[in-house]
Amino acid sequence: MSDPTPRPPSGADADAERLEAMLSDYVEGTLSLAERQELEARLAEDPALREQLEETRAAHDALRRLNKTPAPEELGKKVEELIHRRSAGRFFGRRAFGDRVPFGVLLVVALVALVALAALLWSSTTGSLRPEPRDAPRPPPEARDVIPRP
Amino acid sequence: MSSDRQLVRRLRDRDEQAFRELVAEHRDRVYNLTLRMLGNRVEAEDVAQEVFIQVFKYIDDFREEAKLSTWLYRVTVNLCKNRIKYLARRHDRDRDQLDDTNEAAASAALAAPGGTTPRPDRALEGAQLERVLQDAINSLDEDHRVLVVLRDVEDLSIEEICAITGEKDGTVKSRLHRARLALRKKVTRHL
Repeated sequence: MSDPTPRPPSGADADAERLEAMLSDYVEGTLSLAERQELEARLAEDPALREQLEETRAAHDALRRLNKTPAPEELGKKVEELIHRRSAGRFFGRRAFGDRVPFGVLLVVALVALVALAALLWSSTTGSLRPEPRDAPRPPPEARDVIPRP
Repeated sequence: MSSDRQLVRRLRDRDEQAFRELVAEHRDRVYNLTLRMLGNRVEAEDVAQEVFIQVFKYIDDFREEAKLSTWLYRVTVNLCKNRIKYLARRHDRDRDQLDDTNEAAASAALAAPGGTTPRPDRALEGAQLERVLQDAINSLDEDHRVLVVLRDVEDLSIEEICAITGEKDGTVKSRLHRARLALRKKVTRHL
């Protein structure tokens, strides 16, 4: 609030604030009986206060007659579109395969693909990941000579 | 409050249907509040959209000490205040966008009760009064504006206004009195 009220109001200020609050309640008809009697006694002897009361009552009545303007029909749709756009579709879970990027699904697919590739390489006879068995037959020495040296 | 809790839980679960329910329930009040605070239809719609986006963005931070609606209106008031400051900085004082629909509705609201069709002169009178009042609201400082809009236009309880503004009961009532007084002076000057 812009009113300079960082500190509690002093005695006179507190009285003024209480009177203003009472006038506000009086206009709205929510003042207690004791306070209403107190205020009416003050109003009876203070024309300026009576004028103030009439002014605020007139403002209160006029404001209450202001009509309520309904929101534009498309407001909700616009908000939904904005949320989808700003979150790149990640906000709502329902659109997991719509405009949302399905990072979880992509991760699972990538892992499955890696496992399949590893199994393929494992079973391959040419580029296998499988270690060469220790007791595998070695080529005969003369065969080694056939292999061209770099 | 328990339905509030359920709705909040669904919102936290990013339930799109919950989002739609929240918007459907509060959009008119949020929009009317932004319209009365800003006095400009385009700005009001823009801020109203931003309100719901902020609510969804920060729903995980909502501590449920207050009602969801109170939190929603607090967000609305804060965003309106920010927009007022922003517009003031830009010297954008064009508040003349209360549209024809609004003015027609205003005249209807101010016409004689009983559902009778307002006479053209009465309709014009109503529209003029609507504009004069809106101009007077616009000329109040933002804190006084908040109070008259929340209490006299939106009819929120003093208790709820205290929760929204974070001010004490007596302070709100006292400032409300001053705000009405200031508004009345401005209206009298216009008429």
